[in-house]
Amino acid sequence: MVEFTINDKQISVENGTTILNAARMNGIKIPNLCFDKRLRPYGGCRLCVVEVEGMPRLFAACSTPAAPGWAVKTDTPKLRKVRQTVIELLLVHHPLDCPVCDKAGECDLQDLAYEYGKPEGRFIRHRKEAPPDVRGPLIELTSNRCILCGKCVRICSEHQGRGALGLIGRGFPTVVQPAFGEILECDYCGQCVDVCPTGALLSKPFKFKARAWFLEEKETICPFCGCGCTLTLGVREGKILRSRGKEDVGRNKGNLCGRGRFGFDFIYSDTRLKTPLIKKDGAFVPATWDEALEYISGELKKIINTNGRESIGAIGSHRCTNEDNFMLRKFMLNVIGSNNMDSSASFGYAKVQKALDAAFGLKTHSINMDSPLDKDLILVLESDISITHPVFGLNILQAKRNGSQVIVADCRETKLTRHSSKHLKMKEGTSTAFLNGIMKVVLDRELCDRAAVSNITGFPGFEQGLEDYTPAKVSLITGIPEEDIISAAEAIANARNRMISFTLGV
Amino acid sequence: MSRLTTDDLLKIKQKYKEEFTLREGGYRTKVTVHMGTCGIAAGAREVMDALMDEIAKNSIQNILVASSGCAGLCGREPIATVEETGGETIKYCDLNAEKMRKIVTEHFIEGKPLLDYALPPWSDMPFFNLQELRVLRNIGLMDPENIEEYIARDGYQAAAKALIHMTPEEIINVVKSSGLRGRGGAGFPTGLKWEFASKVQSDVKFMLCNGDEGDPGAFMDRSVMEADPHSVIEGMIIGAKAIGSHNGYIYVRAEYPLAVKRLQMAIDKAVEAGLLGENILGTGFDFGLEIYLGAGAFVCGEETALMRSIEGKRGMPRPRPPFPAHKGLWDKPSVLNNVETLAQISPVILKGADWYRSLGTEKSSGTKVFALTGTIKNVGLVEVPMGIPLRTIIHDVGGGIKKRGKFKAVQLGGPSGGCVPEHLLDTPVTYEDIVATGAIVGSGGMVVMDDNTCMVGMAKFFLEFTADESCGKCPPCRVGTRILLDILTDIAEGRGKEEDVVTLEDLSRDIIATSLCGLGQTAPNPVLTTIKYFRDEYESHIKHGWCKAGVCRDLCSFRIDEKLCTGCGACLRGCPSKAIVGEKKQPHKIIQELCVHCRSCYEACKFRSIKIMPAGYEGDLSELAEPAGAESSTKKGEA
Repeated sequence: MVEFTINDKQISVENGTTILNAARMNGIKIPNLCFDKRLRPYGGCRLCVVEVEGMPRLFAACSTPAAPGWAVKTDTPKLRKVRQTVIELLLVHHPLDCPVCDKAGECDLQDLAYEYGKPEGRFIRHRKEAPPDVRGPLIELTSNRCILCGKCVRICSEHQGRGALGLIGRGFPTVVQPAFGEILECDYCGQCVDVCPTGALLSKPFKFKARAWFLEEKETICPFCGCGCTLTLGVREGKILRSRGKEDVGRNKGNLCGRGRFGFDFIYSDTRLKTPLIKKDGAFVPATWDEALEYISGELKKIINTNGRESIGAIGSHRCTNEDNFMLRKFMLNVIGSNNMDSSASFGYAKVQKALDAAFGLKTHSINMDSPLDKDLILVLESDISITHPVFGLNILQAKRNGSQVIVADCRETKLTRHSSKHLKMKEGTSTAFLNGIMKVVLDRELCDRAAVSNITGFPGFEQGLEDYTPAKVSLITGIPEEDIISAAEAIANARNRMISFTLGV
Repeated sequence: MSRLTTDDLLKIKQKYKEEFTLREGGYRTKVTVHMGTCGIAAGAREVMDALMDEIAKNSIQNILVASSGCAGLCGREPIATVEETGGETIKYCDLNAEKMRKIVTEHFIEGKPLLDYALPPWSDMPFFNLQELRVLRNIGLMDPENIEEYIARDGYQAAAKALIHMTPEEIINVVKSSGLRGRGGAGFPTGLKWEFASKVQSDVKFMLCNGDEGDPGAFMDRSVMEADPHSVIEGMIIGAKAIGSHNGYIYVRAEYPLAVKRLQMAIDKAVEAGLLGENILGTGFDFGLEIYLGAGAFVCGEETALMRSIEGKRGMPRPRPPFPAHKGLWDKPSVLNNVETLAQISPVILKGADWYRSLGTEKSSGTKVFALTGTIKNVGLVEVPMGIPLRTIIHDVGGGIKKRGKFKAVQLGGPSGGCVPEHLLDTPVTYEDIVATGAIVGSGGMVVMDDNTCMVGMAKFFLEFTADESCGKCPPCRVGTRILLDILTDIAEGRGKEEDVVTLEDLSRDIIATSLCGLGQTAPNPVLTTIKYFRDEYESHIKHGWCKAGVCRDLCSFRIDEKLCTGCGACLRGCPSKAIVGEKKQPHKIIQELCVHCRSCYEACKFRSIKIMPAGYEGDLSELAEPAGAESSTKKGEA
């Protein structure tokens, strides 16, 4: 633990904690424009500089670990002066077009300029006049407003594992751009839009829709995949205008994928059903909810009376929230009295669920978002998790950055294979053989506690079942070289802890 | 070449001693043509071709022809050194093919040295006799492309000693107590750097060499890499042993093709000889070395940016900590040393810390190589003991100012450094004393300026460089240097405002305080030092529209003082815009409307009759007359 003070407040943090993080934990604000807790310290914007008593030079709080006994000051005349200069320099070429910028009102640069800026700028230069790049479908890039904090570039490459944006050029003429100035082609997760501290990167669908201060923000859960991310919806006059992630909010902790961020516009589709329809004389006719509910309950009663409760079934949806599906189940069991329920999930997870139940007795397997983070080894089987469960996929990438081994067995090239420690290129649909092969190697080479596993009921039969799955044979089935199977097995067995991750279709 | 043992090293040394000592080897004369980049640019290849041609034509026997690196006196290249049995060593300078042919005929055939073409004897030249050659010990004296010549000059003896007889702690202790400080500029103690890295536990560590010399006017490292590449490699082997590294990179900019070529040859030869790679000298120690070509960004000389560049990423500095000794290249513990630092490791190991400390001062021991350039007589590479006064380097070693100019200031440390004016020339060259003047020792560029230099223009030149080379990561450097440059440009072009000097100083201090890396933290130094020592020049530009050195074209006019003009016509003949009129032996006149302010008349006039006046000045010359620029700043800036 490190004991030190910030602005005379006694603070105690773990070794290696940066001054900025220590300040954040203690509710002390230090201005910054390039910090994001998901990213490595960058030290670029120079606004988080602080003074340490007895030291002549200034320290960037974001990248300097607190040292025992330090007396840190975060707001002194000297600091105000240099921060003022830095802001002044940033505003030299910023167009100050806040009246027509969607970011106004929630813009870090605007807020800091308001706090530190001087009414008169000493330096006059031509403002940048590059036209905004509006070629991409969802994200608009206005380099005039960019202050080159590099957050977008880093969130994209470091965190999102994509690297679609880069800093092009050197020094003053540097710009943020996709490679070769091409149209931005990426995952369209829009994380860059969220992290941008100015209006340089903006959501195109939200453009000129509403001033930030008129938006009412409401939190909801994303309906798209099993991750259950919290969306912060911007609502004005009852209409959803945008969706974004907010730092530390929800189990996604501010991360969103493209579906969660941009994929809500269908709710305002012209072709969307807005009222119940009842079929009359072979044609659907719009009805009120009262009419519809009355009709349904009447029909249900009729069917129960004639054919019995068991003749009624319900189909839920993985697009519905857990709460909706729970209500459906309750309705079916308690009101209808039927157990006939199903959903499209039975084509995907239900099979997995069955297997997990049989093998481990697990009735549910809801995703623990953080599970990859403390694993030494992650084995991904034939799953493109960055597409199916993008935000969960981010945690696998983060685990890799933190030093975990990620082995991906897949026939495709995916984002995960590109970031893996080892990509085992296997023939499609051969995961089972691969796993059997791994288990055989583990048992044959005594890489597990044989005494302990032998006690498991049915173990001898299980081992016998593996008899045929020698590395040579598994290699033939999967197409993975023998030595890779063996070394993967060894890595899996020797890791201190591990997880196997897969999604639909295995 | 087969893999060598330590015995082989000694045998090679002995063999060379026998063969190449002129008397014993059967050669009468040895001619060395110095072929560094400077020599080649000046025409050394043609000289070499002429020499070989003449020798063949006249079928001269017993002349040994050799090539080697820069001889140090770059301003007088091409140079050839002639050593004769029993005779004095003669250095012929300013050569060309024709002169070389004449030398062959008269000197080698007829036996009459052509003293007109030769430099004075070594011992008579302060340029040579005030130098102490440690880093440059082999430079110009051996063929850099021949590993045996290096071995013959005690090469790889220190590596053998370090690998066989010394523990890493012992190596570090010798380097630490030698007081050797990093010669890249910051002067961090080398032994300490090694100690930090040696204490970090890691399976992989990197030993790196910084050959990304980029300051305008600096060419120390290039010369060492071109003329003595093995000394750098040997230093790296010793460093690798000290920190426990088995992999290294030499980062060299691609603009140094000859250095790259010779380093690569040296690495290949050393690998072949078992002096690099696996099981060096049979000691079981492995060290593999590769060259990484930099694309020439100045910021890549900064250690964290250099490491990112080797990783194949955009060369941008990152904040420290973590320090490279803990997390450097690919997040592995790494040590980065400058070329000059590494080149003197082997003598330190062989001769010991006390020998090293015998020169220099308590805190700045040893010697420092400087690249002398600018308006100085002896342009070239010099190595002097630390602690020597600047005045000695400039006026004795450097031979003083060229032509009839008068010393004005010397820029130390290139764009990161500052200028030192006349009245501080007795400052001893140590890290601490130079910093006290506002400049830095830096990597060793020393640009000497005479009274024809405009200090505003000088600051502007360096800011053009740093503004262009700023990586763009942090705003103080990215935007700040650009604003400084804009203000300087305004001043130089006559748009200066009274408050500009205050703004320059204020902004400079904020840039220094807030910049992320050394580039930004030092970029304003040229501005601050020129203001400190030559404030009146700024004021003269701003208030009077007068660049007294006649460099800022919009802020000067050229007039002929009729009292001094003899009517010799030298100015008239040299004027490119035919702006000068006058009869022979009658005072001449400059037609202001035609004058393009090119200074050629000013340079041509032997009678100092051309006067530099404020732009558009039409008054009497005597009212404002004062020698251009010179001494105008007398000690006002001494604050």
